[in-house]
Amino acid sequence: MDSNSTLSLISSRDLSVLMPALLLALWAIGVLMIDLFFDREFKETIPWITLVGIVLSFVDLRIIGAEEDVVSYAFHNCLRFDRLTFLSQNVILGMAFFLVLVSARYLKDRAIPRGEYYALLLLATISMMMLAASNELLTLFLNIEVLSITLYILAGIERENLRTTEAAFKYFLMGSFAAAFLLFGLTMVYGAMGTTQFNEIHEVLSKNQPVPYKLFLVAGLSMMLVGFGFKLTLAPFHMYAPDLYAGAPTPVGGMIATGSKVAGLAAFFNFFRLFAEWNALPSGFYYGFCTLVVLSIIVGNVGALTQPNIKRLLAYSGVAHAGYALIPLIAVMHRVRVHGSGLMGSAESAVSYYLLAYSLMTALAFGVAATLGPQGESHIDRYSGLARRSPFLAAVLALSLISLAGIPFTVGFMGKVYLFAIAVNAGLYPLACFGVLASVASAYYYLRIIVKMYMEEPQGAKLEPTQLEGLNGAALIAGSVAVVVFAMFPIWFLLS
Amino acid sequence: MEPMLFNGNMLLAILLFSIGAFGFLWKQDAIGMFLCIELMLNASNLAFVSFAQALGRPEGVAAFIFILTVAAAEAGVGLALFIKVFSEKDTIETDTMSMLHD
Repeated sequence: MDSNSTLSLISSRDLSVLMPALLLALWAIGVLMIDLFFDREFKETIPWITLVGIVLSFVDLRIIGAEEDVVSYAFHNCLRFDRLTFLSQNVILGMAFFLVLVSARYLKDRAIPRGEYYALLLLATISMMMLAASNELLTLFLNIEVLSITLYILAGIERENLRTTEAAFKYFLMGSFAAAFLLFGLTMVYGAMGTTQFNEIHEVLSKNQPVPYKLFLVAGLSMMLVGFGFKLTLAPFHMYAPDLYAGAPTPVGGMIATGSKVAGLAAFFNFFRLFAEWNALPSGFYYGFCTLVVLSIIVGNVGALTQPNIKRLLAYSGVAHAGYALIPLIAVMHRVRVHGSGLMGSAESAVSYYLLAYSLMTALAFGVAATLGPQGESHIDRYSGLARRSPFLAAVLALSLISLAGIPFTVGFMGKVYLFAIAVNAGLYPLACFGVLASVASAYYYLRIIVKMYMEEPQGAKLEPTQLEGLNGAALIAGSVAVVVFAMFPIWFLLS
Repeated sequence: MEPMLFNGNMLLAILLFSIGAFGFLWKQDAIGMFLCIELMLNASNLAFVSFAQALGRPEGVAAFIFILTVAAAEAGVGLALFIKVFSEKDTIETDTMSMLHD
């Protein structure tokens, strides 16, 4: 499996691990060609064609598989495929599948151009998959940028809606600013370490030699934290998220909230794990990182407490969940400072399980909001009495909110159990207590919506019932089942 | 190892980046803000190439080409967005973008 042979640029092993993404790339081009050359009738099949592509890619990914402790590299160590990458790519493809199913009706109601939407969705999915596999600084940057640019276009794709265009405009400016910070940080890390490959960085750090230009390294890491913080909506870099989620089309908001965060978290974990295990990490950086995480949990929960708009509420909830998801990394850093090593394996499994849990519940919530259309996109008062009007939709939303709140027997609860367990394992008792208390407090704003749906009378104008129909409904039901099922069988995630 | 901190290249890159960052926060029109972003990206370019020269490694020069390409793609998308906003509102001053406040 030596992909470093000087005579070949690409080996067959490289191609085989890339096949899922390559397949999607060809599919995206195919969708664009169909949109260009065929007539209106044939274009009705574009969503189905997209779905077939995602399913094929998923099947191919499962065929390649990933055993524990087996890591394969591609393109001279620029891409890394281990268990975390495999799980992240599964989750990303699952989210893409779900969102394609949920988008069909949404697009039709708003006359959004179909061909471009689905092609861009596929391209975004590819960049997410590659981002989760990046093992090198330039690859990381390229994938983040391709993802961001695709999402800028997708966020503004509803061209007739001025709010959407404005949301995309703001997202573009803020996103480019953050990307520039990420890039400069990356440059400083390259300068300090002398290499862009994560494997070589790991070698240099694990030999415990003093790093030349440590100042550059730490400054670079801090700037990368800023850039990543934007992508993951960590406080205080989260400010763009409520406006963006409120303005962008709901399925696109779902993509940004789930897929992009999953890929970003996987990439963040892959990169910062090198420095988490470095026992010469400066205390300033460690405490700064802790502050970021704690601040995200606080800001996310406080911001959602009084939020009347459902999509902004989900944005703030995403901020809090991004905070929770980084607790394992803090646990690893703490353990390294105290003991010297350990906990990386369980951190990896805790993070990968939480990626699945978080994206499932958030995607369900966005899916319900998208299915409800104009009724479900704005003020939560419009959810009053939803249980009477559309009982199944209300049940799906209730399940996803219960899961987000971390109530037992849901995947959200199991995810939080693993996160706080690893914090306790590392001896971070205050952080674990704080996380649990914040989680309990967050139940208020999630359950408030459930109360509105089931126990209040509809307010304002008479709203018509929305049925769970066709594949849209099937996707929502399958998601709800998954929320409970994955909570019951989490053990295979803990195998690594 | 060369004393990179005192190398004029690195100082210039940091200076350019700071000017770009400050300009982004100061400016009100979208084109100006985007120009500042380009300035920041090119500051990183300069830093990459100067590190490549100091370290004798090739990644920095490859990075230059990649980043330039990415900046061009970003410019394409961004300017298209700006044109759309301008066609609706006849202005791209960011002070006027307040439709999303609730």
